[in-house]
Amino acid sequence: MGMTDQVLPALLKPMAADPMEQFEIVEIFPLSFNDGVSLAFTNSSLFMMFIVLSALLFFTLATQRLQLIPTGIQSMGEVAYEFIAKMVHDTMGEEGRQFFPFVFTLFTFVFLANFLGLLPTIPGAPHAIHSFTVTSHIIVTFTLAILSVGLVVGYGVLKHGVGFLKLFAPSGVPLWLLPLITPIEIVSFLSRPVSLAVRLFANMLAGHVVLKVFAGFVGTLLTAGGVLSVLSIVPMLGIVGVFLLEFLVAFLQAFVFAILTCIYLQDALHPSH
Amino acid sequence: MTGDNERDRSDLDDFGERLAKARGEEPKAKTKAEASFGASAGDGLRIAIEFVVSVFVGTGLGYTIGYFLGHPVVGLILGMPIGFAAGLRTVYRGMTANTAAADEERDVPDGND
Repeated sequence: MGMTDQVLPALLKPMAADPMEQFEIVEIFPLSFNDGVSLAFTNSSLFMMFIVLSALLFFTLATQRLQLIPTGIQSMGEVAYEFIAKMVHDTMGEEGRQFFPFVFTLFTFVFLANFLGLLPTIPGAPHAIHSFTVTSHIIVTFTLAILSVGLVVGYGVLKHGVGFLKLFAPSGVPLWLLPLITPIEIVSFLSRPVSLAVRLFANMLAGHVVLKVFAGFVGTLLTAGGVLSVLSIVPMLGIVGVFLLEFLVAFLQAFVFAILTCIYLQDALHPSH
Repeated sequence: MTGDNERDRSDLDDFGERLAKARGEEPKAKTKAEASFGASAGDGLRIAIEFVVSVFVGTGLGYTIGYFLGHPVVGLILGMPIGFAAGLRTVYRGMTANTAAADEERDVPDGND
């Protein structure tokens, strides 16, 4: 044991054994008022800024020097645009075009948050600039979900007024069943933001914990010495597999978030069905 | 100027047509069977989460309403089955939407077999 400790470089030692450490919030610029409410600029805020700036940079580059036959980054930008435009059109039709900017922004933010959260941390970097996945915190995903459902309610009430309440009384239901169906529909509606938030948060949290646990295995096996050190290649390969899967999950969860927002917005457009 | 615009327009239309044609001839990247496993697993997980969340929301809402009316336990007991029913409704809605889309692809008429 003593020998391996000296032989192994500090990088490979199982230092951060706690798989939850990566989700810790670190205050960079503390700011609080009333002795309790914290408005600090945290590592989460830093990563959100990083995400927004990345998106801004990408789309600025993509829309510069536009050509009829796109090349490189412009064609990537067009793929992203067409993907969401088609999703919005398929779910909501022509009327849904007004929601395109919202859905596109939401998708870009969630996708980049998931995706950039997979960046490995530079070894030895201070905790505040560790790689961080903002969507692995339920408060972030819940805020996004509330934003979506809030838009559904706001637009629905503005456009249909009291008629929006038809959402809770589906057509074709006999009158005597309504006292039973309406509470069920209300609960079903209220569980939407929660399930939207929980799904994204749980997927990101679980994926990153699995990655860290596997990484922990590699370190532990390496320091165990002998045959066990050789076996450390197995969890190492596991990390590669899980990491690839996480790429898929990063995209898939952003896609699911966006398409469910579209489906819910469809309810705001046509509440009675 | 308007003449130029018209010519540009027709060039663009022509290009659009050729693009659509070229895209139509592209071989499909994946067969449906390959793509469907991942999609089904995703759908299953999505619906499972929605079901569990519905039960929790129903229970929580029942408890909260009951709490303010002075009988939290009654609210809990009434809220849980409503949440369960809402969960079932979500699952049912999700599944019928899926099968309706699949039937549409296979040209199956509506109604029972």
